[in-house]
Amino acid sequence: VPHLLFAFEYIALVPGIIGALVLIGFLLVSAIFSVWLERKVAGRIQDRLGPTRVGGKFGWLQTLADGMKLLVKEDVIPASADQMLFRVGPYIALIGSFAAYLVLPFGNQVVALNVNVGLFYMLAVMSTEVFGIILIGYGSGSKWSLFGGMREAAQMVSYEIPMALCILVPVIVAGSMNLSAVAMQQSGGIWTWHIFHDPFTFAAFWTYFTCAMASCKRAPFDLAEAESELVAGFHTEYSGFRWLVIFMAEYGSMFAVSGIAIIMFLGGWSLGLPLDRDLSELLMTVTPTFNVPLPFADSTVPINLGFVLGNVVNVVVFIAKGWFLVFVMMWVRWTLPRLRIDQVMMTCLKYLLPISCVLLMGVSVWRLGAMYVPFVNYFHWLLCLVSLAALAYLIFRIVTLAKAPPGTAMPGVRRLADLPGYSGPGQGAQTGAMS
Amino acid sequence: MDPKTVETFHSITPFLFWLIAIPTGVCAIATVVAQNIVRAATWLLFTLAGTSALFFLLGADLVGATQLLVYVGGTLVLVVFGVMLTAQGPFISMKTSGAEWAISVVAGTLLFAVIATAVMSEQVTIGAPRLKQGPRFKLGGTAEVTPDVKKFAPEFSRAEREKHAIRLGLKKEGGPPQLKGVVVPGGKGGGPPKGVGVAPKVPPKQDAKKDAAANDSPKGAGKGLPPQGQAPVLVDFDGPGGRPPVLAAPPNEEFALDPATSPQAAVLGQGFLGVGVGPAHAKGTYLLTPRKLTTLKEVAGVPASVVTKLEPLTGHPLTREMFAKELSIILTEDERRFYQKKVMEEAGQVVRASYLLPFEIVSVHLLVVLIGAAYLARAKRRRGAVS
Repeated sequence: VPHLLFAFEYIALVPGIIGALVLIGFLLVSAIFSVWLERKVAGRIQDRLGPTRVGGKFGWLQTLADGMKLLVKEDVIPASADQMLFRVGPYIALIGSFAAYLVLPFGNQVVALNVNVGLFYMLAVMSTEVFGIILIGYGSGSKWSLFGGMREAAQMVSYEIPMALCILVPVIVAGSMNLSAVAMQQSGGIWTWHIFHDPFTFAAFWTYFTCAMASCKRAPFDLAEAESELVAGFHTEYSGFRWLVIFMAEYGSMFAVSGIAIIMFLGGWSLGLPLDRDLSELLMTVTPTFNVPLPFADSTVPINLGFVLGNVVNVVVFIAKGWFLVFVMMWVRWTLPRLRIDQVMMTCLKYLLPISCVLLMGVSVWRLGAMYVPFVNYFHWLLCLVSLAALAYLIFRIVTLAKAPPGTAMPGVRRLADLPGYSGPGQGAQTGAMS
Repeated sequence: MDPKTVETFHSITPFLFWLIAIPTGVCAIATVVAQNIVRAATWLLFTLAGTSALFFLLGADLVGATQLLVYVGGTLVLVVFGVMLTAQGPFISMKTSGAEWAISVVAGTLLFAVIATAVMSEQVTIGAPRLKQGPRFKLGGTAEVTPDVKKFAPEFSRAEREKHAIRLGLKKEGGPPQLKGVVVPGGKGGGPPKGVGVAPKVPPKQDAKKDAAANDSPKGAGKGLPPQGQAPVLVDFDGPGGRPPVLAAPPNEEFALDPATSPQAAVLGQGFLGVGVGPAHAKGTYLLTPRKLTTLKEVAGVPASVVTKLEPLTGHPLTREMFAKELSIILTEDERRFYQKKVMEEAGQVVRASYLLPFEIVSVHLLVVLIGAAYLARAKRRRGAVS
């Protein structure tokens, strides 16, 4: 055996290593960008500017500076902590969230591993993140952290159930758990996206997204972040680099669950244009193929220009969609108030779980009905049209609301001067007050 | 395919196996040795994750993902929850006595012995029990492999070729989807087909006996064979690739392939759907893998008339990708699924026949160990905090 062990050509390892480095790089950049975005979004929603100084006008490099700060912070391990568990916990959480990216396709064939049960694998791997959280809470050797860890673990474990049930809804429609295959099914117009397939997939998207936010410990389920009330729960004892790793894991899984949502519901890397197949395959038919010689090996690899170009567009679209969903998560976080832990659990067990079961049953019945009722097969047109109209109206309202003076467009907001019996300073001032 | 690529492709697997297996084993030992329960659970996490990585390496994606979901995401979390909720103090550690160590070492060794015996005694060779002695393909010499069988079969229509396939038992009429073998008799009048490198030989008498034995098969697949002394026939799989590496030779003849000069030979050595169809008795489609030889016909439920033993070119295991690649060249999607199902059924039969008893022994053993572990856990012992 030993002579066989190292008998391979090491060049065979290179693609794998490059792929891993690209994925790690993406995870890092995505996390850095997300943290910056979070601060900007939070600032804007709270009528502030957010970071503005570091790295130019928009504070681009704020996160990088924060990262540097965290790296040089003193590495503290409490005396009462279990050394090994304390050290290993954050990395288990990070691996759980990073390993999900192995099967996440970013474009047509732009995937590290094209696994047939990719979706199942992602859910399985991301469920290991909770083990890291438990270890972080337990290993800290502090009751405060332990309670926080238990709280988070209970939340994540509970929300995994409706999340997995909701994700089964588009699986029933698609008939596959291969993420690439599911995405390619939706490469036509926007009406081919699974979210518009029927009312159950439509509802399943919103339910899934809610559960995904909860399983990422995001608002309004972000008890881990409840710094004002709970002093950050499970990672109270962490500082410096390990704290950074915990946050990388959180932002990593945020993008991962968004990626699942995009592939299963929102058309994957499709632009929603009425093309009859994927952009890269469409361009491939009109561009030539070059045989590019591989370095260090006497073979060539065929590379098609259109395929590459189309996939560049695909990857950009996919990442943009992913970051948009991450943005929505932030939007929700800084808009809605936080739930108590009992309310969090109640939302899951009393509402989301039954809803997801009904959706799963409903989509099965719908698929059955599609065989007998012809109208059912055209329902996605109607749903798509109504949704787009609703979206347009929403955008219109947002734009007009922002421009309207207080007291005219937004119910409940009155100018101080307009309040009955008010007499004091600020007469006629433009400041609004919540009634 | 470039033989060099094949070599590279195959031999990276053992490296990856040891890369995963060694840390997994170390973690498994650490699980047992660790005295702190939550630490032991953490080591167990690494062990189970490593096992699932091995499943992925084997190409069993679903099993690997299930392993992660059920054991890592489910059971282990439950265990840790249980430990935390029932803990009397922080960081419980179990101090085990020497006697307990001795008992557990004996129990563990017994378990290992049972499993090792089961694994070593029965080589998992699907269909192997039915192998009989037959012609021998020896690799390493020289022979020619017809590069393009299409060239030799232009004058037959598809229907005609299909008829031949049915006659030779490579395909059943109206039966389940089988290997789409299309048999083309060689040159007319008994001569060899043009360009076939291996000359036809009149088979020796002893083969007639084998032929008769082969024809005893219940489904009568061996009937209607070309008479002895006829020219070798070519089997053209007519697959989507259009150009499968096909080997045409009288199989009662020892013939050889040189991997250095023939890419097909290299592929053959690594695991390849080889075909040997001869004049008298020999027919069948051989799935050649380093460790086993299965006739696909046999897998498909058609009794094999000729089974050969093949010497592997190298000891490299056949990987899933290679297998899938070769199959997809030659078989259509339906056929591929059919054979995969058949192989699975065969594997299930082997498991049922050979592993049932060891499995039962192990399960009883595990039950005893479980009770012992519960006893150990409940026994009064010194508990102390680990620094």
